[in-house]
Amino acid sequence: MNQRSRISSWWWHAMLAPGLLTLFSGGEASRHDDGARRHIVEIQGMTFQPAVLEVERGDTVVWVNRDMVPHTATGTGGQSWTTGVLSQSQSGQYVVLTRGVTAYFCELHPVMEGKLIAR
Amino acid sequence: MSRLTSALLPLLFLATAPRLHAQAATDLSDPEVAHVAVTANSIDIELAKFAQPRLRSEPARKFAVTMVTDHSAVNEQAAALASRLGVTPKDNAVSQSLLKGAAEAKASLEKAQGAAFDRAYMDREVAYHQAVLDALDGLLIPTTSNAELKKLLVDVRPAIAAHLAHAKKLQSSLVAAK
Repeated sequence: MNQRSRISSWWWHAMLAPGLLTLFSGGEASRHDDGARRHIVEIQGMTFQPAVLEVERGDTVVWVNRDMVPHTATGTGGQSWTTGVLSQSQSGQYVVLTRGVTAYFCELHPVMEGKLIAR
Repeated sequence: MSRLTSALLPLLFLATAPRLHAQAATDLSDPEVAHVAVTANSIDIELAKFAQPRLRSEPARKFAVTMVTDHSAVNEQAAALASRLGVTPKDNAVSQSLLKGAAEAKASLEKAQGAAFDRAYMDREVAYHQAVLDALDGLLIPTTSNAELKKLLVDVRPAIAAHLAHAKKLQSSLVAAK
C-alpha cells in the first residue's frame, strides 16, 4: 500500500466509524449542525431496542429493522405518524415535535410497544 | 425415540389431532428439521389465505395477513440458507403428520361460519403457535447440528412467541365480544 492509499484508507475509516457506531448501537445518538440529535432504535427479536428512549424536542428517531419479518413504528392514540412497513435492513424515521410521552407500536405485531420521552 | 422427543411430539401435534407413524419416533436430521420448519410455515400461510376472505373481525383478518407475510419471509430465508448450505430439505413422518393435522384443522374450520369461524381460527392459531414454540424449544433447536440452521431457528423463535401473544389477545377479545 503506497502513502496515498494508506492516507485514503485512514480517512475512510475515520469518517465511517462514527456512523457505523451509531448505526449498530441501539439508542446511540449523533448531533446535527442545528443541535438536534439523531437516535437509533433497533428492531430485533420482535422488540424495540431501547423500548423507552429519552429525546429532546426536534430530535430525529430512526428505526432500523434487524428482524427477518417486516415491522412498523406507528404512533398510538390518534397520532398520524408511521415509518411505514420496514422490511429486513430497512429504516424509517420520525422527528419528535412535541414534548412529553409519545407511545408507539408495530401495526403488524401490536404486542410490540415502545415510548419516546421528549423533554 | 428419546424421552424428550416422546414428551414433545404430543405437544407438537396437539393442534393437529395427530396420528403419528412409527417412523416419527426418531430424532431428526438437519435436512428433516429444515423440511419440518418449511412445512410448519407453509401450513400457517395456507390456513391464513383460506381464512382471510371468511374472517369478519378486522383485527383477526389483519392477523391472517401478517401470518402470510411473516411466515413467507421466514421460508424465503430458510430456502436461501438451505441453498447456500447445499441442504435439500427431506420429507419425513413429522412433516407428513403436520400436513395431515393441517388438513383436518381446515376441514373443521370449513364447518364454521361468521363469528364462530373467527373464534375457531384464532383458537387454532393459539394452539398451533404454542405447539410450534414447544417443538422449537424441545425438539427442533436442540436436534439441529448445523450452526447456521440452528441460528435461523433461534432467530425465528421470538416471531413465533409474538404471534402467539397476539393470537391469545385476539382470542380473548373475540370471546369477550361473544
